[in-house]
Amino acid sequence: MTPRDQMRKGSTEILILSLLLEHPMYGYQISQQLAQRSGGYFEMKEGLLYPALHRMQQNGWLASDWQTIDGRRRKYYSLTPLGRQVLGEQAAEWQVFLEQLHALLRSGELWTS
Amino acid sequence: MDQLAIDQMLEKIRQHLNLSKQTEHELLDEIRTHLEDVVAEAVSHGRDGDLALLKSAEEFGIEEVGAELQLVHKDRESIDALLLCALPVLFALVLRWLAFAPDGSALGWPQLLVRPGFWVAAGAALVVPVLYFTRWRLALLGWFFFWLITVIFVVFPSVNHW
Repeated sequence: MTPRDQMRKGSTEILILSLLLEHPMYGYQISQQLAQRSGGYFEMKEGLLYPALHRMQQNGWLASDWQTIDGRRRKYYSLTPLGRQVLGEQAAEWQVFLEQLHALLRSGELWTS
Repeated sequence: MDQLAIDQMLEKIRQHLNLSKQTEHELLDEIRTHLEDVVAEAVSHGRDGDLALLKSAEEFGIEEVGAELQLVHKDRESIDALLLCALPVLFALVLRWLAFAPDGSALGWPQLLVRPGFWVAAGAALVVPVLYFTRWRLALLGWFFFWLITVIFVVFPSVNHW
């Protein structure tokens, strides 16, 4: 697994939660939206996406229901109140992480230590 | 061709699953929809549906996704099975408390059926599994056990000595 894959794996949950904050989506739609909005950077492997969605649903972060729209029956995922709370916590955590990382990179400590 | 290829991919995933039929059916249905969307999108952009499906199969990691989904769901199913066994026992204990007087004598049907507590227990024995499992068949199974235990307690009061 490349470093990029590892970072993407670590950010799977917050990416999914962020997208679903807007409106309920189905699995294929989530993977398409992630790829489109990030210019292909967050092209999530479906093999990672579905287990993550199901795990998050079991944690109570997501709810799901089957809907038939335009003759296609699909499973739509939406954020639960707990999911919103977790998103807030994870977003704050990522913010701190990125700030610290930026600071470290700017100071050059990574290269001198 | 597309449907046949999709069926084959789903069968490969299914081989890694050992869950209840309903859970497996839902999981595979969701992935089927995804694969059909992949094909539909490719065709709408003038690309070959079969090639898109092959590419998707590679990206999916067909072998991995079945194993991952099995891991995610097996714990939940074990907890469900445990609860399914525990709930009738819990209601049986409530029933035993309702059906037997403190002196050890058992109530008959006429006395038992006019007790609000009995109907509360009977209702809970049906509603709790429906709400928790969201599967009416499991709920009915639990309810069947509830009534079976009720009949045993009332018709054979000697179980008081268990």
